[in-house]
Amino acid sequence: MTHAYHQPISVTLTDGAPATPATPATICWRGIAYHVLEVFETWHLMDRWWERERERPEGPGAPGSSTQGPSDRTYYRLRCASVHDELICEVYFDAAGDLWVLERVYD
Amino acid sequence: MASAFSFLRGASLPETLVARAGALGMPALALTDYMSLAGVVRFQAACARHGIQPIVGVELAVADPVFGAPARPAQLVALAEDPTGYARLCRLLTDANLARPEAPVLHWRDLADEPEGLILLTGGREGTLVRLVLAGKRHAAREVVRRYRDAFGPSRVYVEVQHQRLPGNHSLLCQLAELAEEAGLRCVATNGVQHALRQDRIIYDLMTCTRLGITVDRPHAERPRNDEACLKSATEMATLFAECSWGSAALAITSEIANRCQLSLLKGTCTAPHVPLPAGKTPKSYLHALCEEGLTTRYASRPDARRAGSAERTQLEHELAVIARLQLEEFFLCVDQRNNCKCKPRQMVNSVPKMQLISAINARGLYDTPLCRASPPTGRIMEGSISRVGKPAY
Repeated sequence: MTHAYHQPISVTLTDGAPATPATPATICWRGIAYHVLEVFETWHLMDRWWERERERPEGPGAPGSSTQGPSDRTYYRLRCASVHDELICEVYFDAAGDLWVLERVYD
Repeated sequence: MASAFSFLRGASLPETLVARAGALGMPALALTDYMSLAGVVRFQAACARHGIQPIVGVELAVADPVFGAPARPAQLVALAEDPTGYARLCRLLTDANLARPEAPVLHWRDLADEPEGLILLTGGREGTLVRLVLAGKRHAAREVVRRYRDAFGPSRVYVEVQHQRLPGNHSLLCQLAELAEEAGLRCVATNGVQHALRQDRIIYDLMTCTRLGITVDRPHAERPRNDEACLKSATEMATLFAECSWGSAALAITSEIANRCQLSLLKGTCTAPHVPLPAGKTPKSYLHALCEEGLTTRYASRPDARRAGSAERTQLEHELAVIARLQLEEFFLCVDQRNNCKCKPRQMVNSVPKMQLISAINARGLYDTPLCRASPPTGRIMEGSISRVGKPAY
């Protein structure tokens, strides 16, 4: 089971290098910082390039706007840990909206 | 790599792809258009300009028995290792197009019957193997890999792995690597290129929508989900496969395949089709015999024209010498054969610009032979009209 959140988060990245591109190092969700322990998988989805920005009701990169406006999302499935908690989640960076979003958390 | 010659399955011209590969510093490049070799000559010419080794292949639509009806044929990639393999590909495509012009499809048996000169790659997401793995049919996938191996031999089959950054890609690649190892085969890393640059994805998507007959608003499994089907540098490919323990080996296999595929269709001149010859004759001796016969016939009433040192004989010997130097005897024999054929072939001699050929055939000396049926030109024939024959016209 997963819970879908589609909530904006802040993310810091690892130092990227040619052979090791930058990936999330920490994420901050609901005021709690989680250190990324493992990146299970990444993938890249682009959609609705033919739509114009003005057609987005909430502006570019609005969370949950997968059916409205163009998107260019790089997803990460992560294992993260805070001081009190550990979670497995999926986050994405939407280059079209320059925004990090927590999409879902696994139970 | 698919070019625009794949007709709505590739967004970039061969020249564009080769130029991009040159900018990325690639030493070799494979063109594998969908059921077509039409772009090969332009591809090889572009590769020659950029100092890139061309590898010629085809993405074949194969009605695989594992899927039953050929409604949605699986895609396999066959690379030509040598002229035998290239000829085999030409024959397979011709047969498939003649049998089903509206949507040519091969049967697996046709492909497997004569694997000489071919290298088989198991294909990307539309390949039988990946489709079975994605459907969770691991046992059937194992059987398919064995079938490929048994038909082509373990040295001619590579399990193709593509990392196009799609969901579940890592798991898919791991399963493909396991299947390859179980069958004693090796993996080769490719990228299923459909366009040269990332921004060309939009063109490719529009082409795909056109091919599928849908609007851009309608989702479809065959539409590109990102811009990863572009040409990538060696560094980008190494980064993609860095997470796989076998990734660097799969990338290195590409060099091994490039070394095996040494097929050049240009060689500075065009290739003449083979002409059936009388027993004991070579193209050169047969052409000389025909010319001698023609000289005798045409100048039956003028023995002086047939004598050594006459203007006519001197001209003929000069032109035959030019033909011999350019190794074009078979071109001229082919035209002779065509002239003697009651049914005119639909196509002129392979790859030879028609006007150049006629210009050469109408050489003054050759007019004296049965090869020429046109009026002879006056004055001394230009050597250039012969020597242009066989030069690539691009």
